[in-house]
This record gives sequence, structure tokens and C-alpha cells, in this order.
Amino acid sequence: MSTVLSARSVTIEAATGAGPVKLVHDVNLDIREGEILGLIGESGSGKTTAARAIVGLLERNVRVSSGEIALRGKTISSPEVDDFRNVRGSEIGMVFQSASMSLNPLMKVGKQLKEVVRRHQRHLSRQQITERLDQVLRQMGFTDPARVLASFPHQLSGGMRQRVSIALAVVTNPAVVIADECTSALDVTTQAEVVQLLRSLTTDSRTAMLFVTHDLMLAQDLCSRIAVMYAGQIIETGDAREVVSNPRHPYTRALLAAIPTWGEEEIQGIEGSPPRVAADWQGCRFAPRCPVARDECTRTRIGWTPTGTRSGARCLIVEEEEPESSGSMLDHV
Amino acid sequence: MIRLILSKTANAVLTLLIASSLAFFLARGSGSPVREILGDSATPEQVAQLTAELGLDKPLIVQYGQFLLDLVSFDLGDSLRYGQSNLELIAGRLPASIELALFALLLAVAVGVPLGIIAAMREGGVVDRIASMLALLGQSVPLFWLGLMLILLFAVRLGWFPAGQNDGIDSLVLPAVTLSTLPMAQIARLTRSSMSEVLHEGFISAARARGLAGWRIILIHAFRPASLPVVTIVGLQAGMLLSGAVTVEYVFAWPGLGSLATQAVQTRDFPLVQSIVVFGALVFVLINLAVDLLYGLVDPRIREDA
Ligand SMILES: Nc1ncnc2c1ncn2[C@@H]1O[C@H](COP(=O)(O)OP(=O)(O)OP(=O)(O)O)[C@@H](O)[C@H]1O
Ligand SMILES: [Mg+2]
Repeated sequence: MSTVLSARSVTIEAATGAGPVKLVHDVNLDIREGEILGLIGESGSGKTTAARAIVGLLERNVRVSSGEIALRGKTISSPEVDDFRNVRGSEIGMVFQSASMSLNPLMKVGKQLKEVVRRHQRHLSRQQITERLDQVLRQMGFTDPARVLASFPHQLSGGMRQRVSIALAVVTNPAVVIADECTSALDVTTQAEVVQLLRSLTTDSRTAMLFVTHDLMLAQDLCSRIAVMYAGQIIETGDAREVVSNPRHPYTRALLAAIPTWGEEEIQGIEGSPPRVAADWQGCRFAPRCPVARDECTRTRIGWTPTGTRSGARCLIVEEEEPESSGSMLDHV
Repeated sequence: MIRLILSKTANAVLTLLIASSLAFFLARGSGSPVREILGDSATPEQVAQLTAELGLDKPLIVQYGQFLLDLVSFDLGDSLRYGQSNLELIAGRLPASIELALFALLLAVAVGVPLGIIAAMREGGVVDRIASMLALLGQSVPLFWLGLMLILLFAVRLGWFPAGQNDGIDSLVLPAVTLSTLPMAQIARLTRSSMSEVLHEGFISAARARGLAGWRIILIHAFRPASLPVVTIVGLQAGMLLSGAVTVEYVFAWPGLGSLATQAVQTRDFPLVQSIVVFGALVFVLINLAVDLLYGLVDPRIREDA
């Protein structure tokens, strides 16, 4: 299985009135063919910023200030490179939180789909385009593609609209799909439908996917791997089941404890609130809220500790628990 | 769609009624025109006779009823000064007014819309700043002053265009440019704000994420929804320019409705004033109606909701 998308030490800065702040700091990611990586984190932790950087959709005051993002080994974004022209919409597709954010309300679904195919697959004949649209809508679970193609977005239900958005992202057979909370706005049943769709997409088409969510249980269910973000940093990665059943970072543990389960008397929320975006900081950003933090947690630079071949955490305690590791700066691939 | 048309038409009729009534009462309120017509030397008998002839001795409410009755039978009465039917007078001046208004409006749209779009694409950029300065100027420079300046420069000094009157396309340029400044400024500002709002919408990011060409995103995805308020204001301005180019027509001695209105007011020709106002309101209402229906064509959601 080959790596499709990778991020190497990516730091993303925003220019603000009070100077530059780091929205994302030293992030490493790897997604392989047919793999779904769940990116988890509280509101404001930088998930959307990271996701948008991969599609080259950062706002004007935001930029990748160090590191690089590569697609199949070719750098598409770094402080020097900004080369999304040939990948956006063809190699990388994006699904947004709600369909109202991704569909043009004044354009029929068919026209919006055709537009993307025409842009990226110029060699297709009219007949072939029609066939492709029919095929992708059937793949998205529509039984009457012709009717959907002739509809305006507002004539479809919320779930249908979101499936159309996914169709728009995958109609060109991209290698990677970035989905930013694409199920959060849906009701439970529709959510299950969409999740099933995404799953079959990765198994059938071998698409790699970054699935951004704040729902740890959903991530465990859908994703092969999970990366947990806190205040702009990835603080733990690993196999999805492993992260949930055996979390290493105190923040991941706290997140799990905060999930309500049947029969449980009370849920344990995490005290305090995440730190605000900053230009720079020392030590662990979770330390002020961490139940097991010590003095040195706020003083030393916290390195990445590998806990397996493709897992690891950014925590002093984990570092001590892992005998063979020396708290190195190894990539958490 | 049928329901939309019906409800809009009812609205239009009501607006027209209110505007006409206003015109009627304002014209009456401005004093009797009889002295104006007969001059100071007229005897009381002559005054009384003309007052009776014009029906001004009847109670106001009766006059108003008569006015409304005439209105529904499309009778706008005769001008006091010209002794000619008001409708004919208006029809005679209309072509010149339409010519001027159309040209000014085309100019305003042709410059204002692209300027607004470019300004919105780079908010705070050079074009944006220049455009907002021009828009401010366009909205604050008095038209008569601008008109005179243009005449001084291009007609008197350079001799490129004639200073006034209507003969040929040459004479259209200066008044049309003058008349276009205010709508141009408004169109540019509105296009900019409307475009900038749409450009911040999620579906524009999404179109970008799909790798669509920049021009396609701007012109097809963004401008179409952004054009709705612009269409409205262009419609309103068409009405305004057609019946309200008073200053510009005066400065350039343009033989349109505006100068007819000026003369009518100066001579207290109240049936003519009244008729011009009613006509102006009619144009306004009709254009508004057209704009509303156009809205429905552009936006499928409006079409169905109504
Ligand atoms: N253009 C910007 N300029 C300055 N700060 C920004 C900008 N965009 C985002 N931020 C800040 O960056 C932080 C991360 O935002 P981001 O949207 O990536 O979080 P998120 O994890 O997606 O949150 P949510 O779960 O609410 O979607 C937030 O504190 C936000 O205020
Ligand atoms: Mg987000």
C-alpha cells in the first residue's frame, strides 16, 4: 500500500492584527490508499485549517510557514510551493460540513457535476460524461439519477444534498478525499447512510480519505487510523481501535472519559478550556488542564514519542513509559 | 409564477394610486395657477370665470374624484400653457428622454459592474480603493456643476462635443456621461458589496476546491447570485433617469421630460405637472414589476415560493 498524501512538519500561521499566530504546529500525517484517517479534536483545534491547507483553500491571511504537503511524493504546498492547479478537484476532492456550503443554489445538480468533469476530463465525449454522472450518482445511492440531475439543490433533502456534494468531490476519481465534518449536520439515520457511502468509496475505489470530526466514536467506527489534535498540534496517532481502547495521551483519555455511555451516572468533562491561538509557547499545551501534569511539562519542549510503527504521542509521560524511545523528533508516520 | 405576477400587479396598482393622489394634492396645494395665466391686470370677473372653467371652484373631494375617473379612462387632461393634451406633450418629449436615459444607464452598467466585480475580488486592493473613491465622488458631486465643467472642458475649450440641444449622437455624450455618474457610483458600490458577500460563501470555496477556472467562479458562480440586488437598482435607476433627469436636461437644454417638467412647474401648469408625475410613477411601477419577475427567472427558489 502506497502513501498517497503526506504532511511533513507542517506549520500554518495566520497574520492577525496582533502579529502572526500559529494555527497548526508541526503536523505530520500520512494517508495510504484505501485508508481513512480520522482527524479528531475540539472546536478550534485547527482541524479545518489543516484540511483546507491540503486543498489549498487557506484564507488570504493564512499560510503554510514551514514543512510541506505532498501528494504521491510530489510537493503541492510548502512555504515556497503553491501548486494546486493540477490536483484540486482532480486528484484531491473535498466535502464540506453542509451541502449548503458546497452546492451553488442557483445551478442544477447536473450542471454542477458536468462542469467539474468537463474541467478535468476534457477527453470525455458528451455521451461518456452522461454515463459517468449516472454512474457516480448510482454509486452515491440514488436510484433515479436523471431526476437528481435535473433538480436544483433546494429541491433535494439534506441527506441527498450531502450525497450530491460527495458525488461532486469524487466524480473525477480523486486519489484523496478530504471530508470536513461532512456528517455533523445530518440526523443519525442519514449520517449512517453517508458513513456507509464513504466506507464503500474507500474499499471499492481505494480512495484515501481524511475524515475530520469531533466524534471519537464515529471515527473509531469508520476510520482505519486516528490522529488527535489539540490546540494546533497532533498529540496522538495510532490505529483507530488501539487509540480508543488503549489511549496513551492524557488528553485522549480525557476525551474518552467525556463521552456519555449508557448507564453511566455522570460524564467527566475536561476542566478548563483549550488555550487560545498563540505566536509561540513552551511545553505541553494541554498541561494546564492535564490531571497528571508535572512541573517540567510546562517547561521543556515536548518531543514526539513513537509507540509503534505508525503510532505515537506527544507527552513526557508516554516518553518515560516507552523504554526504547529517547523522546526523539521522529516522524509519527 | 401566476400567483407571483398577480400579487405583484396588485401591488403596482396600489403604488400607482398613491403616487397619483400625492401628485394631485401637491399640485393643488401649491396655489392657484389662474393669476399666473391671466397676469396681474386681470379683473376679478375674469379670475372667477377661469377658476370655474378649470373646475377649481368645486370642493377638493369632487375634483379628486373627477381626477381619478379621468385617470382610469387614461385621460390626463390638457396643459394650461400649451393648450395641448398632456399625453401628447409627454409622448413628444419621451423619445429624447429614453435616448438619454438608456445611454446613461448603459454607460453606468458597463463601467459600474466590472469595477464593482474587480474591487470585490481584491478587497482593499488598488482597484478597490480607486473604485470606492470614484463612487464617493460620483455620489457627492452636484450634477449641475459636473455638467457645466464638462461643457467648459469638452465643448468650449476642446470643442469635441456640442454643449447642448439634441442633434446627433455627439450631443448625447456629455449629458449621458453627466447623468450616468450617480447610477454608476451606486451600481459599482452595490456590485462590490454584493459580490464580496457571495465570494465569502461556502459554495465559492467549494467551487475553488473543485479546481474550476477563476473566471468561471467569478462570472458564473458568484456574479449570478450577486446580480440580483444589482438588477433591482438598475431597474429603479431606469425609472429615475427616465422621468427625473431634470437637472441634466436643464443644463444641457435637452428637450426631454425633465425640461418639460421644469417648465411646467415654473408656469404652474398643474395638470401637466400632475401628468408627468403620474407618468413617472407608471414607468417606475412597470419597471419594478419587470424587475420582480426577472428575479424569479434568475433565482429558482423565488419562482417556487411565491
Ligand atoms: N483566517 C484566520 N485568521 C486568524 N485565525 C484563524 C483564521 N482561521 C481560523 N483561525 C483560528 O484558528 C483556530 C483553528 O480554527 P479551525 O477552524 O481550524 O478549527 P476546527 O478544529 O476546525 O474547529 P471546529 O471544530 O469548530 O470546526 C481557531 O482558533 C480560529 O479562530
Ligand atoms: Mg472546523
